[in-house]
Amino acid sequence: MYKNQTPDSTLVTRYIQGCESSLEILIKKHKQRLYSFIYSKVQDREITEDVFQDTFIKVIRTLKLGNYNEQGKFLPWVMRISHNLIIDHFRKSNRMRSFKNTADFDIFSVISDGSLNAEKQLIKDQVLSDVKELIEELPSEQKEVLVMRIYKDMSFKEISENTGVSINTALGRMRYALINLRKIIEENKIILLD
Amino acid sequence: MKQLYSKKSSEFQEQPKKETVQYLINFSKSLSVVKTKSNIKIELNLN
Repeated sequence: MYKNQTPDSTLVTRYIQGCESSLEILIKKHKQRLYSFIYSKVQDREITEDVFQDTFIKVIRTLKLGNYNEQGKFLPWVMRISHNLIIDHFRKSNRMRSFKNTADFDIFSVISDGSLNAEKQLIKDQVLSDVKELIEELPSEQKEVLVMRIYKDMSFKEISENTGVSINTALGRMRYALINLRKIIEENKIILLD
Repeated sequence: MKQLYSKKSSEFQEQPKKETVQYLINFSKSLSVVKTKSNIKIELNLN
């Protein structure tokens, strides 16, 4: 048990005035009681650790902002903060049922995450729209061939017939279109993710 | 005589890890509050 005879109110006042070591004394003085209190409610060491930490972060911020006005009742105030954080924890865990993976079983191997798919779709749409903008930068002959090939899914024979150039020329324009697209991407340091 | 309990379990104490306490001390030291001209308090984390 940590022994310090200085009253909490004095330590709090000193801390507010800038004495950082007073906070250390306060934490060490009350850590066991507070930790036991939290653990008795949540019955999980990791969660207890988190709630303990969050409690003191709130204490520190409140004291530094000068919003503390309960002189002489420091510990009950701290306990009240942790009590509220415990309630928040249970509210959250009721909303989100937790599942712990084990070495033998990974929950993600059997469930698919719809929101992740939506996110991937969003990224894909963005990439496609970015690519379309990049294509606009190409010379018109190259752009024409690339659009016909990629977006209209036409064969090089069809492209040749539609544009009035030989198949070889169409192939060459496609090749240069891709080279130039890469160049634009590199020069502008564009990153396309998919 | 055979040891019945591992050392770790006998050392169980209901108190936070040293790292947690140290984190809080460091957090406090790095946090400062400044008052703007319009009397608004801003938290600065000088980490």
